[in-house]
Amino acid sequence: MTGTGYVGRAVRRREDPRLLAGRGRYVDDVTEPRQAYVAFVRSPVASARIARIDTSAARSAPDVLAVLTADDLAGHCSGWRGLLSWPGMVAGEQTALATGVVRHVGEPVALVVATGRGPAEDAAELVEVDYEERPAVLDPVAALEPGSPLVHEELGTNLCFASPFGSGDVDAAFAGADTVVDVTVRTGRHTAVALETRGILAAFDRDERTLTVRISTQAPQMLQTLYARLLGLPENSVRVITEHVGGAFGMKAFVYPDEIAVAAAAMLLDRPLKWTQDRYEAMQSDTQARDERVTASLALTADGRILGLRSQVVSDAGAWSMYPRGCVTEGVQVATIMPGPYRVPAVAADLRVVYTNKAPLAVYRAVGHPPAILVMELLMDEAARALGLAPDEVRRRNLVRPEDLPYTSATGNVYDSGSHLESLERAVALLGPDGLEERRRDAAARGRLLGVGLAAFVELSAPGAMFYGAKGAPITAHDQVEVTLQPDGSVTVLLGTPGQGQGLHTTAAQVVADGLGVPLEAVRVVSGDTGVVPHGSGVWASRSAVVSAGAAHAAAVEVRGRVLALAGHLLEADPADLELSEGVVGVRGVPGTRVPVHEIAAVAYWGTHRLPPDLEVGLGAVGSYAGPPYTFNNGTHVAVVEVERATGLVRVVDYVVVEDCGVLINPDIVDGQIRGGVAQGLGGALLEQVVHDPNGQPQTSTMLDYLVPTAYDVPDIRIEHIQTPAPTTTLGTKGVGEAGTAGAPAAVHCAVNDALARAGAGGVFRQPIRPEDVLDALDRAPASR
Amino acid sequence: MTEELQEITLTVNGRRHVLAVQPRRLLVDVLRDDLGLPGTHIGCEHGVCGTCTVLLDDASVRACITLAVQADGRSVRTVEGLADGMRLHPLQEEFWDKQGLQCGYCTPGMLMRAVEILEQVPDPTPDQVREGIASNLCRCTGYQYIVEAVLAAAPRMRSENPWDPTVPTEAKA
Repeated sequence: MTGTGYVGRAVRRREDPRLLAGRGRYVDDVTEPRQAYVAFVRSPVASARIARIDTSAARSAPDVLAVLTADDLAGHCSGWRGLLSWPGMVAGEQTALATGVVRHVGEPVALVVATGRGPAEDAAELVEVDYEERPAVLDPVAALEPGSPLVHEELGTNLCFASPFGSGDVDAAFAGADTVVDVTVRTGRHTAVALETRGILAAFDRDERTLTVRISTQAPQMLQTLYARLLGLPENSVRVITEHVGGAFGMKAFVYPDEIAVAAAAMLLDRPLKWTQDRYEAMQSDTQARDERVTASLALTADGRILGLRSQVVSDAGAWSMYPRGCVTEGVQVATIMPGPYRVPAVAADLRVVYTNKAPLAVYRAVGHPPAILVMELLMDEAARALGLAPDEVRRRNLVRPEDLPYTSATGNVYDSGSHLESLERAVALLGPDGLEERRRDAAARGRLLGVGLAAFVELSAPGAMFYGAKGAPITAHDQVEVTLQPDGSVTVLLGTPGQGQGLHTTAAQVVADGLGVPLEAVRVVSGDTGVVPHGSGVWASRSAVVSAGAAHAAAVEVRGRVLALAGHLLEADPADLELSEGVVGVRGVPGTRVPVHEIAAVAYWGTHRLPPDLEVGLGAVGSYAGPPYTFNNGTHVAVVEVERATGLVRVVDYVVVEDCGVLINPDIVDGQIRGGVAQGLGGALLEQVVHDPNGQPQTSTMLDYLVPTAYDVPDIRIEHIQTPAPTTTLGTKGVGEAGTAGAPAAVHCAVNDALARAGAGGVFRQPIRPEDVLDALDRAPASR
Repeated sequence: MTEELQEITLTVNGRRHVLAVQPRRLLVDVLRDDLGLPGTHIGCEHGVCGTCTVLLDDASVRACITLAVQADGRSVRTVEGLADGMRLHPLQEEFWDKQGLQCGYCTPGMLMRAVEILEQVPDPTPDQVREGIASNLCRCTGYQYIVEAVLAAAPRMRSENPWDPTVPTEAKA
């Protein structure tokens, strides 16, 4: 791609006018004839045996059509295990409605169908369930002790998965070290808080035996396959429609028991059923993330060179391994991403993933990266303090250098390209280190401590077929895009992946317009209906700019070749001498010959008598992407915070991002992803945490209790780009959707600890950093400082 | 739980509706389900996130914790009333131009809150806008572009030639 086309330009998003006018079509906006509504009865306790369910009062309530329990769905919806073929991983069998046992507050136990949502919710309160409560398992470390109650008795253990990761002689590294620093870090349990809650509208056509599911999801084709499998239908009889999705962030990439229960009930009752989750249900039953306990140590030479890294990671999986991605990806990434952009010759990581009686832990934007990067950056700052080096200097001495590339980390990740050192230098320059002392004095005059935090990071993006698919989940990387040149020269793009606000229609149009050689306005993009679009694995892991765009480019180039072959015949020219640009075919070096592409296309459709019989006339092609196992973007974040001494409140007052995600398709869209990602990471550092009481009751079941950042919490963010093209991907893109979230928790956290250190106080080593944590740290500081 | 219906009159985006509603029905449900205006979204159902913001007699309210009967006899403005046909309101245009949205779910509420801010403070500072929209949560954008969009719309809304949908504005690059 050269810079002369649409790729690289900040064209306005074509998705937006409809959304701005309030004419989006989110699941709850659509109503089917004969539609009825579902409400769920959910477990009010964290761990119990279900002794009895009495639905009689609910069944006879006004406007109620049915009340269903696990017994009613047995035989209509198979159970599943969220297993991937990680050696030794175990997972319990899950059913759409709880069978005999409940394992976390909010688990669906029964569903009520009524003619309206109000009557359904009223009747749900009349379902009587006797729970024989058991002691809940809440601490993942205690859960591994002999004699601990078991979340899944059939498994005989709470240990879901354990594995070492890394390579190199770590014992020798530590034995030969001049300095060893260590940290023990606890990250908060997060949840995505997509503003559109989950929801489904399922309709079964009993004559055709087809199921149409309109659902708020990231992975429609994956759901088509799994719903067909679990509900006993042929795949060609399941259609998944996903128009607009109001945020997902990894949380909407699963088969959820409540959602498939609605689909099963719609088939059983022969009636279109809608369920729209309320926020209270979301806080109890959406996937959660990040809840990691990490102890790590770093061995260094006296001049600050890293010799080795050790870590122990305990990941709190909650009650279920979500289907089909499972619950171990987060922990695996914490263990394997931790060396980050640094040259770490020896790594020994020890991961344990443990079941507890909480809502399931699963993937969430930047899966595993935030804890991994946080731990590494805290270690780098501890090393800087121990060695008397500046924080940027100790990083500078260890970052991967251009001559090291491609670099293979001791945990086996290959960094194909990047600007690891340059991004640090540019971020420090962009911060403007010369003005910092004055900013410190100004803050001090207002009773505030100024702190600066650095986070240099890599982010694994666009994972390939080996990531999940090879471990048994229907998740792949060979996404497909179909491009068709129509008789009038307009272009239809069928995109396998719909997106949740990433502007994928816009970027797909940019890529196709360039690859085919037509004006951007000629391109129309369609997505969101598995009955229409080709195969795709959905939108996750910063993959669409690589995988989806790569497939779109492949299809566009194929169609372009066919157009030029036809044009060669019609113009009596060698196709190799022809060019197609902005919808016009010309002969290179012959200025007079210009034929609009619609004249060629019209012949291919309606004037085939003018063509020889052996010429390919089809002007539609499916392109697929077959790239590397993954790629990595990289960058450096710098956060500047002010810590108010009197209250412990932290405000982020300045934020710098230098990001290298390879080739930019649309710089505005990339910057939007970074800004939103940083906001989410800032929330993780300072605000967000799911809290349970000692019995496993969630204490953060409203948005008053679970805090996400407001406009007042997020500063303006200064962004610079480095564009090191990925050598292995179609367009040189690397993906960026999660990069902001990956780096921000560490940058903000290191800034707070820097502010505290300047007041002589020790650091905080938990997230979120609450005001009381800051005040505790300040109180413990020696008075002499 | 079926309750007697109560007759109410709502003027929504300038159009008068006479409706019979249960006293427990929420304004947001009446807008979405009874009047077919699904542009007003529901985010939290407890009045925290601002997604369902509409203007009730020119002041923002959370339609998820406002009973429809409380709006009886009053005027409601929703996102559907901003544009004139295909012609977008200046705030909608600036949100588009500055990319003040991603998934679009918080956007209708955010737009209505922005309308209120600019009607009350026609020439706001960046801090006033930032603090003003802190009432509404967005999980996608990080807010910076929303602030920029509101600031860019302000002079257009207070200009001596107020926004006229019949006059096309210059197409943006």
